[in-house]
Formats: sequence, structure tokens, C-alpha cells
Amino acid sequence: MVNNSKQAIVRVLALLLVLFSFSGYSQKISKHYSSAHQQNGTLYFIFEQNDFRNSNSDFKYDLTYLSTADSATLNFSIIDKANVEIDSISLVKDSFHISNKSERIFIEPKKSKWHGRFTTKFLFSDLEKFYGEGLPKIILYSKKGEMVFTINKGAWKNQSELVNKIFMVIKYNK
Amino acid sequence: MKKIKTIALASVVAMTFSSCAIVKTPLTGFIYTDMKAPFAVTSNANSSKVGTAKAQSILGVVATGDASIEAAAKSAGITKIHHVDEHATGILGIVATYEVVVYGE
Repeated sequence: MVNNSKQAIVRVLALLLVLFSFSGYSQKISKHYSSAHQQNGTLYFIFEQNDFRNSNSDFKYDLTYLSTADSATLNFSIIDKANVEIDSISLVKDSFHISNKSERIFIEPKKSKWHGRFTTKFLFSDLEKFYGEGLPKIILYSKKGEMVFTINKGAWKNQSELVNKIFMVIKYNK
Repeated sequence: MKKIKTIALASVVAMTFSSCAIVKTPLTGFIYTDMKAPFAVTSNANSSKVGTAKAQSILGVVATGDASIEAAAKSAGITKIHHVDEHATGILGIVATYEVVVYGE
């Protein structure tokens, strides 16, 4: 009797574990992006990515893309001790290098630091190349100089695979 | 003595579960929650910008963040809101996040 109830509990737990694993798998991509169907195309949004690092500042970015447009919007945040006005941004990888001017959305204090929020645009086809093989760098330029953000190999593997899968979804639905 | 032990055990269990990180969502999974749901919609046409704002709770003890529509709209420079969704995640009542996603222009 006791053995039977133990077995039943183990079975229920195993079933829950399997269901949990499958739900996690199916959500793997969908929880990282959203899409909204509109009259002028489908608007895709890739949620915040924060694996690029620099010893002094925090950097986060997200991507928005309308399926009928050529370019995607890259909004980014920089949290730093100083109030940094970013003029432009570069995405760099081996021989690949794209740059564009950035515009400020806002700058506000965040605890003892400053949170600067900026926006820029890149061609969707260029971003596809950026998320290919090779370890990239993101460089932000201000009047005070440049800030280089790097990413480790494992984090880039996960991030580039994720973004590439979302790009595939976008392309298949064009 | 047995009654006291039972009451003490029940109190501990009740206290433990009452302090879990539970996140606002139409449906809650005790083990795992990952749920997107509608929040609001307006009559404004098409959107071209998306902004998010997030708040997080740990063990139901500490909860921080600004998950307001205003913060989400501000993060993308949105001045006309088209619709708002919410995204809630939670794992075993240990960590829960609540994110507001604003679409607009």
C-alpha cells in the first residue's frame, strides 16, 4: 500500500517534470520576442539583451522591426557614473563594421548613477550579418571618447542563436 | 503535544507559501509561470515603436522596479499608445517578474 502510493507520487512528479521541460522548450524563443500584426506589416520586438559588458558601465539593448521596412530600430540604455551623451554607435566584428548616429530618448538619474536611453537604426540585412559567426564588440562614441562593450563566447552563442531564430521567423513570415 | 506540532507545522507551511513571489497574471502556475496577456487597447492606428518596463520580486520578500505604462512608453519614446500587453514569469515562487509591453508611435 505504502509502495503503491510512493510509486504514484514518483509518477506524478515525473509527469510534471516532463510537462515542465516541454513547456520550457516551446517557450524558449517566444518569451524573447513579441509580434503584432498590423495593416502596414508585422511589428516584431526582441526583448532586452544585456550580455555585453564593460568594467565601468551597464549596457542593454532591444530591437524593433516592422516587416515591411528595410531597417530595424535599436534602442539602448547605458548606466554610468557620469552623464554620457552618446553621439553614435558601432557594431564591430572581424572585418564587419557598421555605424550610425544615435539620438537621445532621455537621460535621468538612477540611484547614484545616470541612465541614458538612446535610439538608432540599422539595416535589417546588416544586423543579420552581425548575428553571424565571430565574437563582436559594441562601441559607443561620445565627446568624452569611446566605450567598448564585449561579450563572452558562451553568452554570444546563446544570444546570436536566439536572435537568428527570431530573424528566421521574421523572414519566413514575410 | 501532537496537536501543537500539527498547528506549528501548518503555521510554518502557511507562512512559507504566503511569502512566495506570486506575480499578477490571469493564470498562475504553482511551479512555473510564463504568461503573456492583454492589458489595454486604444483607438490609435498602427504602431512602430515598442517599449518595456519591468519589476521583479524575490521570494515575495523584496519587490523592486517600475513596471508602469509611463516607464515603458518612455523607454521607446512613445507618445501615442496603440495597445499594452503584460508578461509575467515566475519560478517556484522564488523569483517572479512582471513586464509591461507598450506598442505605439
